[in-house]
Amino acid sequence: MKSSSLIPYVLASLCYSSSAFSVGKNRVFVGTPVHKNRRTVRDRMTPTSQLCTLTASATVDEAVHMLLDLGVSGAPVIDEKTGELLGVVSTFDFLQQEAGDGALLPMEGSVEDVKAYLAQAKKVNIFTIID
Amino acid sequence: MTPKPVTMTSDQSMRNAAILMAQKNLHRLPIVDKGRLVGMITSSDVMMDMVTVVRSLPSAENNNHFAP
Repeated sequence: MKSSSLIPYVLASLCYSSSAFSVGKNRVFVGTPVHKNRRTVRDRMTPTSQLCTLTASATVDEAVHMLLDLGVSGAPVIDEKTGELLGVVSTFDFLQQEAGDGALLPMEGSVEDVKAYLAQAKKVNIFTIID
Repeated sequence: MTPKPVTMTSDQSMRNAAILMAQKNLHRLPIVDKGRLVGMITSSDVMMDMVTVVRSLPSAENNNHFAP
């Protein structure tokens, strides 16, 4: 485990542990008053009523536009009828898909292959031809 | 999408949610009760929760930046 990935864990244990905190130079504070009334996930979560959700039948285009319009980075995918959680989509998934589409470019091939690729590709950023 | 994401039930403490998210490097944690999605916790919710804990500490010279 990288040391940087430990930071949130250390922060979490620092904030939530009931052991002694030392604050300032000469003051010591034991326990946290907030910790007594145990805060559950229910108190902090965004309830489904306020959550933008997607159904499995939504198209990629719809999903992307919903995320863009609402300015959110991900949404849960639920079953329309039962409300069962099927999965989660995030902007990362769409980035990955874009990268996957890009990989269709033949790594080796004739000039004709490249021409055929360019004809069907929507957008090409970098193109290198080595003889 | 990510099928079968890591989830948690709504009766768990924020402490457990924070630890799970830190351990598994998650930013988004769907909350599921009896198979139904009831809500979502994000890393910023955990951060806001930590801020309330930090604010509840007695004020010291060096943590004034947490004051509103």
